[in-house]
Amino acid sequence: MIALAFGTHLIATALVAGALFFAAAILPGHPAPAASGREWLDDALARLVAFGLGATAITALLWLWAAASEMSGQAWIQAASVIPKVLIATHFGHVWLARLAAMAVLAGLLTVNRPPNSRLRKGIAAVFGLVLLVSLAATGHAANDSRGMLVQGVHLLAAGIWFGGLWALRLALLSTGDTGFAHRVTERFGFVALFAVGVIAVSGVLNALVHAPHASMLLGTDYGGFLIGKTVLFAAALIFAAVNRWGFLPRLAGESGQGYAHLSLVRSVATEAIIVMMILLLAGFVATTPPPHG
Amino acid sequence: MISKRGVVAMLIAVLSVIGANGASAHAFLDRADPAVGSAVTVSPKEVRLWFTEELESAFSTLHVVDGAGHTVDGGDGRVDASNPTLLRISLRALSPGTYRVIWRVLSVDSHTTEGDFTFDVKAGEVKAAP
Repeated sequence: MIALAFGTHLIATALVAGALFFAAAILPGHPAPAASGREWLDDALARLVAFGLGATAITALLWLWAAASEMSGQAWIQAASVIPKVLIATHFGHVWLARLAAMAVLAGLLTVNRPPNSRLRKGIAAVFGLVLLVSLAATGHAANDSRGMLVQGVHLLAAGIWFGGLWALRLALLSTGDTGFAHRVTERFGFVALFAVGVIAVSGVLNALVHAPHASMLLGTDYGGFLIGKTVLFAAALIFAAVNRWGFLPRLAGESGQGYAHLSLVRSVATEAIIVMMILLLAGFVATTPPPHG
Repeated sequence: MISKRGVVAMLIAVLSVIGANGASAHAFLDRADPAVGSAVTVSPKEVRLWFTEELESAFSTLHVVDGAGHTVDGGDGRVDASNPTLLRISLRALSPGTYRVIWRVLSVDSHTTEGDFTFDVKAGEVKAAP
């Protein structure tokens, strides 16, 4: 249960962080022509972030409850009474409270500034979203080791930018029939996503080497199975990313309005995002399963 | 656009933070005193368990029972204040027999592990620890 609670919390947090980053750093700074549906897009992105933040808060509570059950060895109902002790007396509880405060600040920022209408405000919101995501590194396997925590933080950061950015990109593509705008946004995100994917691969390998220095340690263990599952899904997502970048994107230039390549790109981006979501869910199991102990 | 130099710099930065001493994650029993499965001739004053990770004292427990399941510890199991990887508990004077040490710990990475082991106090040679 704690794996599901953490996995869904990771998905929600990554959605918020990535969508805010997309709005601040990927979308062109100057409003696109009215035909691009920029007003609709800003509103849709605000609703996406609000949904993600609500899901982040709900899943954070479930995660806390599941953690209290796991820590105390008590069933869910009884574990509710242990939650104050978890919050006050454990490292996990302290990080959880700090993250709750960050969530509240972010919710406040987005409420008084909805949708964010300046580059600076978008940037501040994005920083809070990314901090909320990266802080998860302080609660998992890496919590005992500062270097491991740094690598895990970088891993989470890149994953969030990729995952949340994909959902935001889908909205950006749906918002417009302007193929120039669609091409520009997709290309900008493509460069960032390529970098993020590289970081995910390198930091993921480093994380795996820390917990299982020999490949043989992954075979026949739950931890290894989840890690191999993540790797297979990662490879599948890369195939969709490559098709989007080098298949559909060049064909956008030859279209006007939301043509075949444009709509195919929207579908393919959504598929890639769903695969990445499955990876994040599996990450919940990796983070809560004991690594091989050699 | 990302330059090749940027990618290389990023890789170096990430690689530089990794050393040979990674965290194993989850607290596993590293060693114990009395040792796992050992036989002692002196009734130990306490049981000490060292783990591979730092422990959360709020949810880390330790107790010792005799062959009949009766508690023989002092009920003061705690994480050592100066060494967060050490869990210790005092013992009453033990008579010859087999004793079981039962532990359940929470490491700071918020994961629990549990286990148990036995040690023997040998008959005929028992004397109180100094």
